[in-house]
Amino acid sequence: MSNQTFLRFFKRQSKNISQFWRQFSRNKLAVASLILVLIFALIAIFADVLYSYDFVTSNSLENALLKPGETGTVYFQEKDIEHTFILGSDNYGRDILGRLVHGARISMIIGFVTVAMAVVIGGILGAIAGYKGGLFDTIIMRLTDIILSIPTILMSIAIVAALGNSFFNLLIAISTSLIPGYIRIVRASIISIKDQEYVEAARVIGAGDFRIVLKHILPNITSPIIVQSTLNVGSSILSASWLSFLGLGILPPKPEWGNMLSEAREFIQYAPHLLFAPGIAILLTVLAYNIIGDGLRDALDPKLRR
Amino acid sequence: MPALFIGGAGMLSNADIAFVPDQYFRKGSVMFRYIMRRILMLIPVLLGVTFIVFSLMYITPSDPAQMMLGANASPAAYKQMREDMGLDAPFIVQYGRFLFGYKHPVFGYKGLLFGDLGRSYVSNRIIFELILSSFPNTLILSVGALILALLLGIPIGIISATKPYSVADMVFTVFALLGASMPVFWIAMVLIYTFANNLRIFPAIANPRDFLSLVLPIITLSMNSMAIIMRMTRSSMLDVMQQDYIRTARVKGMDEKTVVFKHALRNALIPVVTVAGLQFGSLLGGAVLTEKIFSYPGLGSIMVDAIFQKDTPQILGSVCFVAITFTVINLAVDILYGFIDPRIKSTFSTKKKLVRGNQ
Repeated sequence: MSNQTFLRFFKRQSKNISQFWRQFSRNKLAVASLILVLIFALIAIFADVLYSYDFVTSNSLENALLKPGETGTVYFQEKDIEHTFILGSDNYGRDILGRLVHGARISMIIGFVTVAMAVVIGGILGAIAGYKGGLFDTIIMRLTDIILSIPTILMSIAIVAALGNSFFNLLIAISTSLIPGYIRIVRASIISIKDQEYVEAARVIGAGDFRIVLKHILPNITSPIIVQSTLNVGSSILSASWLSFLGLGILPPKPEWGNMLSEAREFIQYAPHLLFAPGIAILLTVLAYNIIGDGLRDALDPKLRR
Repeated sequence: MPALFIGGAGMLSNADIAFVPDQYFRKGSVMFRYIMRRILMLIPVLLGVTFIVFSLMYITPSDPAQMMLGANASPAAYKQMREDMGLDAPFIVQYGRFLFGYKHPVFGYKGLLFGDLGRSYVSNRIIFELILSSFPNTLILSVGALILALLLGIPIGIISATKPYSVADMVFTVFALLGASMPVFWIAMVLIYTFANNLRIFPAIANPRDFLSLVLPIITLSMNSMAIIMRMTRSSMLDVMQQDYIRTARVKGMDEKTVVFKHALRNALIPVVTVAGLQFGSLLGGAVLTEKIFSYPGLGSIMVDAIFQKDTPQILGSVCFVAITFTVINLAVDILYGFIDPRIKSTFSTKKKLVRGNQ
């Protein structure tokens, strides 16, 4: 690529992006959600700066079930510290805000890793099914049908139950249920695109399958994939939280929003604050991803543009 | 093709619907062939489902023979037990037995095809008896939730669509977004906290014989579906309201009520029916969580308990049972869809032409 064409390409891209942003920023709710997600991401990245991990996972029973804003003395790293529990403490005397902050990190990792796994695996399988067709297509689509005919919740539960309780197995369980969605999107787009003239032209010039998929087909399917993955980050955070809630995901003392709620269950009567903080955290995160996903769909879909 | 297929957009009367099965259930008709093909296609999918679930349970690290004998068994007894339980056979043989039955005086069973998987070696209860006795309870919960979701979702969707971007529409939109994003178990806990703990109106533990105790679990379970049905009704209504025949009806001087309920709603509800049917399937799955929280004696509770007790045959039986029910319901919805919407049905017969036409 010569310098000139590169510059032109770059200019076109930046124009696309600014046009996209103009569309997206019309939706104030989506922008607010984006800001919220960025704040959560920052919190997740700097979780260790805000609260040390050892602090939020170690018990101090004398501070158990403190109300929001109360202070207590915590014996931590061989000295007594005066600590304010901004959102109160749980039944083991652990700081709830601190656990929420570290839980944000775990949720964020789960959300992004599961979706990334699903996009890569689903994308490759969908591309093979759509581009090659024939036997590949039949096998992959039958497999998709089979996975889709087991309710998502059951599928994840069965996978975790079979593989055992670990972080990696949780990721597998969640992303397995996401994969069929990407297979379908990619396959459908490729089938509709692969016989169009410009792809044929590329083939006539002598471009290989790999190059055609990468250069001519991939750019056409990025927008539905971006929308789907944004929505899925939310839903996979939700799945992780209820798997943990059932005791099949991340187990205490590791801080995770779902298992915090699971532990809170027995103490609802005495300490309702245990119930609201993690629930609202899950709700806000999932809501934000859903709104951003909707906003992206409106901004990226030229058919909806008015 | 009779005229009713071209009759088109708004004009779907009850007489047409009543007319359809009579004509389309005749042997060799388009619809009959379509249904038969779908039922035949169901077989490999169901086999695949059982195969996947069986493989998952096969690789589970639990050891049933050890569980039967306890920790202090001699190696010889252990080996004998594995042989008796059929665990020494290769994977594919075990899968065959799981489907078609296993002959043994103590551990024998007739197989999944005949609805018999023997007894659980944890609770020693007959597996399918437990499943069939608890399934109606799950069904009560799911049907209740679906009815509630439809009763609230459709009217709210209509209100939103008739006054788009009004204050009411905004409120409902936010509500729908919340409903779709809220973790089910959290809604349940909040409901228990407010209505069982503080107000003491409804009990926190549900049981199928007490209607009052079913209120909270049904609300919990329906929340997600309600949001989805609401959004679906709204978008489908908005879609239909922009069509020409609605404008024609208005121009003819019809009042808005007739236009909305007699002309628009009928067409708008077609996609809603599909979504509702699909929701019913996912409600069966979603009941797992709700049942667990409300200690409700349904299939979901049994499944979760079985997982924690590593009761493999019970997990296998229940997961396969729900997956099969789910698949059959989805198929039924698909077929029903064809009956409700004549336009869909006409595409079965001219499928090839349509595909070519689209390109």
